[in-house]
Order: sequence, then structure tokens, then C-alpha cells
Amino acid sequence: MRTVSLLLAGAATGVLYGLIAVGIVVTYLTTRTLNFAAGAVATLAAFTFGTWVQDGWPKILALLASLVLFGVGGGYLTGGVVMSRVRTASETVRVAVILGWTLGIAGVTALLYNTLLPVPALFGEGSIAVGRIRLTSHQFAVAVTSVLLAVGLSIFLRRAWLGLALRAVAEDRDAARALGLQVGRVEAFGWMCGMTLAALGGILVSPLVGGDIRTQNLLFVKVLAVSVLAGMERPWLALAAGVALGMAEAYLGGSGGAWTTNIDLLPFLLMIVGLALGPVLYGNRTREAH
Amino acid sequence: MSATRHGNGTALAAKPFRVTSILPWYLGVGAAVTALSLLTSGYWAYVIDTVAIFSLVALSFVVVSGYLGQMSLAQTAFMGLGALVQARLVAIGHLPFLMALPITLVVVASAAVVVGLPAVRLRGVNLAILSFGFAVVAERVIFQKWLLSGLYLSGIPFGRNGLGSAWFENEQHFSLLVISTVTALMVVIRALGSSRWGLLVYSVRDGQATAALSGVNPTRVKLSAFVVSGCLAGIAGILYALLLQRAGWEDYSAFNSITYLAMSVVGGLLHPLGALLGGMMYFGVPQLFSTVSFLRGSQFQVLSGLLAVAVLVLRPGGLASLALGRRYELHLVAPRRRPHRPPLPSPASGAARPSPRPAGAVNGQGRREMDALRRSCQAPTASALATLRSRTGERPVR
Repeated sequence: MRTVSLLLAGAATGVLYGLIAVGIVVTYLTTRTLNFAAGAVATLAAFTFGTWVQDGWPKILALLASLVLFGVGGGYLTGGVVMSRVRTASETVRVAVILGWTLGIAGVTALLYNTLLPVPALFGEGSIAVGRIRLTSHQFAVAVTSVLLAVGLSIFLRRAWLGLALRAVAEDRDAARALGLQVGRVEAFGWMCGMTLAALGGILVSPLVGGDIRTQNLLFVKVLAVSVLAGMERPWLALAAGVALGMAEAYLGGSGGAWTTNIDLLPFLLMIVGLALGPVLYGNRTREAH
Repeated sequence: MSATRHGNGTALAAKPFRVTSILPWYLGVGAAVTALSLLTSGYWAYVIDTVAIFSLVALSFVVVSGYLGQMSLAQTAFMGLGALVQARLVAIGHLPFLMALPITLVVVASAAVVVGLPAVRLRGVNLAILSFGFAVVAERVIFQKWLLSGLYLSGIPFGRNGLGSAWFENEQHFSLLVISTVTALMVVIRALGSSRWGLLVYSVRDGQATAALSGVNPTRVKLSAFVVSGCLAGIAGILYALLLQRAGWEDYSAFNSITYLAMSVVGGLLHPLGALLGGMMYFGVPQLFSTVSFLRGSQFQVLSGLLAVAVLVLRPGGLASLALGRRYELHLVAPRRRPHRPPLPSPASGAARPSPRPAGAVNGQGRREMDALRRSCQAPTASALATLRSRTGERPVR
């Protein structure tokens, strides 16, 4: 019974890794850029949401407004204005631009909110008992939302015309243009999707993790490990990998012995496994950008 | 990889090179900085030392990201390993500084091999992810659990008396040590960039398979570049710990790697001058701004972030390319995917040689689209492109 409750608690944490990883994977899938700015945008969106709710806005309105402002607006600014200008640059430069952008966003957050803000739980403070485990209703709702989001995005990217267009532009820009796609707009849309997911992730995760998720390196590494394990390809797999990592951490961490002290090694080891086995497991279906 | 496309990548090795030809420049800058640090004292001497040390960190990025073209975010791990191992050996183990230094560098070099080994197979973003993972593991496990456990969790006191001579206790003498070390290492790295080793590294960067065919061992070359870069970062870490008089894990937090990489790219990755400019951008300019103007902390952070973006959008070669010219922008602006095309035949030679290209595809744009269409037809069936193409009958694509 103790094992079951350990695993359940681990899964509840793992969903959070998965939720953020879904955003990273979708951005990578549609823009071929690792979105280092996700954490900064998530924090900014979460703090803004928190401030607006404190000011008496209805939660749903505050949510929508911050998603539009930071997700759609921020995504357009990142993709349509900045990244479109360094499209021909090497990966190093593109990542460095994103890093500069991250510094800027983090600076804006520090300017606007100089102390840590409590972010209210979107789905309220009630709780639900699952066996012996007590989940808050926010935790439960986040898990459900994450599953819906991951599965929905997987289907969207695989079946919907717009989803296919997003992936096609990332696969081969020129060929996508030859098919008649307006690649500039599609790329900007990809960034909007990625930033909206990052903002949503920040708003949902902040009440559970607490503090400033931008500075939580370890959380970011876990998210990266999960994204790599999912082959940077499938949103639902990223969520599944997140849950698996959460459960593994809870189980090994609770087992006592060497794992308990060195549990932080686990994401790194999984990263190596994911990078080594990725090409074997998922094949190299998208051509190397080279 | 044609010579025209990547030829600029070997800018440093393009001309015959003599160390004596660059020495006056480097020694001149070094002497100027030394003079500056002798004239100032206290806070500004500290700023100059820090800029010199961060230039050394940027120099480690010049080797691994500029020369070798790999994105490593593990540099803080190398810095921290250098600082903590050296501090343990000297301050706790009571080894003489110069005897401990080789041991520390061997430890740092082995860590660099650990990060460099995956680089034999991985590149780009995957290597960035893995090296960042290593940096976080180093911070959380190696530093906090293994090297700093128990008594020393908040850091090891590492005074300048650890250098073995009371002479260095003087602030200005210590500045002299820092500046001369950094200047010497910059000369070495500049010379390495024009050496045979440099050519090997560029050849691996510009085309690993081609290099391997020419008898270069890519594994050995990559690992050697990682070791050189790691040791530079390690030395920077030791100097930084000596400057702060204390070696703790907070100063080598993994997240700083990201900032350091951004600062190095803004300075310019292909020349030691870029490293100097990067170090100034990261520490010197903010300090200058914060004392002479109304800008403070986070305002400057916004400004420097946007400045970094602006520099990179306008000149992907970084600030150094403003001074050195566009050849130092090299592979950073190479087109990402452009299949090889034979040059257009001139009317005279075109008659002699039958053209394999279909009529109507003579101009660049048309040929580009033909190539792209051909590629889309060859795309794997599972790809989004192929699915989209098969659907174009169902729905008009705009």
C-alpha cells in the first residue's frame, strides 16, 4: 500500500514535468528551436495572472487575458519579429538569441514584480481523496487538463491541416513553401502555440511548485529529460514520460540507500538513455537540419 | 562542403601566422588593463579582475563553440570543479598551490571528456541539453553532496595565502596575476586557432565525415577541444574562487552557463577579442552603467537582454565582427539547407554540354522550388510534408 501511495504521489508530480515538457516539445516540433524562454514566460504569465486575480478580476478572465498577452502576443513578438530575422543563422546563434530574449523577459518580470507573488490555484483549493492519498482539486484538474492537452495536441499535429502545416514547415521550409504554405505566418503561429503553452503551464504549475520557476534549474532539467525521452516528437509521450519520471523518483527516492542521496542524478541518466536510444526508438524521421 | 561556403570558417588559419605578429597587440592590451588596475583600487580593481576572469570563461566558449562549433552548457561545471577541487586540495589538504593545480586540471579534463564523449555522436541542441544536464548534476550532486558535504556546505574559505606567497595578498599584485594569466591564455588560444590543431578542429566542425575520410580522427579532435575548453573554464573557476576568497557551489550554478553562453556569443565566438568584449558586456558594462546612470539592476537586465538580441540579429558574428570584419561571422550565418547545384553554364559552354535540367527552371527561384518539390516527393511517407501533399487534392492550400 505504501508503494502505491508513493507511486501516486510521484505521478501527481510527474504530470507537472509532463505538462511543461508538452510545451517544449510542441515548440521544438514546429520551430526546431529549444525554447529556453519557456520558464521566463511561464513566470511572467503566472505573476501577472496572480496580480490580476488579486485585483479582483474573475479567474477565467485573468487566465484568458494573460494567455492572449503573453502567449499570442509574446509568441508573435518572438517568432514573427525576432526569430524570423535569424532564420538563416546557425543553431548556436538562434539559441543565443532565445537566451538574450530570456534575460529580457526575466528582467521585465523583476521590474514589474520585485517580490515573489503567491499565484492562486485556478481550480480552487478543495481536495479529493484517492485511496489514502489526498489530492487538491487543483492537482486533480491539472492532471486531467494535461492529459486532454497532450492527447488533443498529438491529434491536432497529426491530423489537422494546420497541425500538418506546422510540422511540414519545420521539416523542410522550401518544400513547404513550394506546396503553397505561407511559411512565415505558419512559423509565427508555431511560436504562438509554444508560448501559449508555456504561459498556461506557468499558471497551472506555479501554485503547486511555488516560487519562481525560472530559477528552478532542476525542474527545467527534468522537463528537458522528459522531452528528450519522448524523442522531442510526441506530446502525449512527453506527458507519459513525465509521469514515469515522477513515479521513478518517488519510488527510488523513498527506497533508502544510495538512490535517496543521489536521486538528482536520475534525470541526467535518463537524458543519456533518451539521447542514446532516441534514434533507435523513434527513428530519424525528420531530416537533420543541415 | 565547398570551400566557398565554409572557407570563411577558417579565417584564423587562412593566413600564415607567427605568434610574434600578434604578441604586441595582446601584450599592449594586457599592459593597458594592468595600468588601469594599478591606477584604480578597491571596487574598480575588483571589477577589472572580474571582467578578466569572465573573458576567460568566454574564451572557453570560443574553443568549444567557436572553433569546434558545439554548444556546451557545462562550462559552469568545469569552473566549479576547478575551484572546489583546488580549494579542497590547497585549503583542506594543505598541498602547495602549484602541486595541486595539475591534479585539479586532470579532474577537470576528465569531466570534459565525460561531456565531450557524447559530443562525438550528438550535436546542436541535444548536446546543449545533455551538457546543461551535466551542469545541474554537478551543482546538485558533485558539488553539494560529494565535494562540499558536512562542514563545508556553505563553501571552503580559499584565501590568497593559498597561492603560497604573501606577495599575492596585495590586491594589485593579485590583479597582475589574473591579468597576466588571462592575457597569456588568450595568446595561446589565438595561436592554437591558427595552428595545425586549429585546422583539424575546423575540419571536424565543417564536416565530420569529410574530415574522417581525410584521415582525421574526429573523436580525438573533439575530445581535445573539450579538454582545452574545460581547462580554461577550470582555471577561470580557480581564479574566481581566489578573487572571492571562497569556493562555494552557488557561484557555479548551472543557470549561469546560459548567461555566459549568451555573453560569449554577443562578444563573438571566433576570436579571443570576442571573449574580451563578451566579458566586458557581462560584467564591466553593467557595473559602469549602474554607477554612472539612473539604470539599476533589472532595468539593465532588460536592456542587456534586448541588446544581446539586437546585436545577434544585426551581426550574428557578435561585437568582435564589427572590429574584425564579416569573415568572423563564418558558419554562424551559413545557409541551413541548400543542396549542391552545378553552376549555370555560360551560353558558350552550355552548347557544348547537354544540360540535365528541365527547360523553364533556369532562374534561381524556379530551381529552388523544383528542388524543394523534388524533396517533398522524396520525403518519408510518415512525414507531415508527404501527408500534406497527398491532401492537397482535398483542400486548396494557401
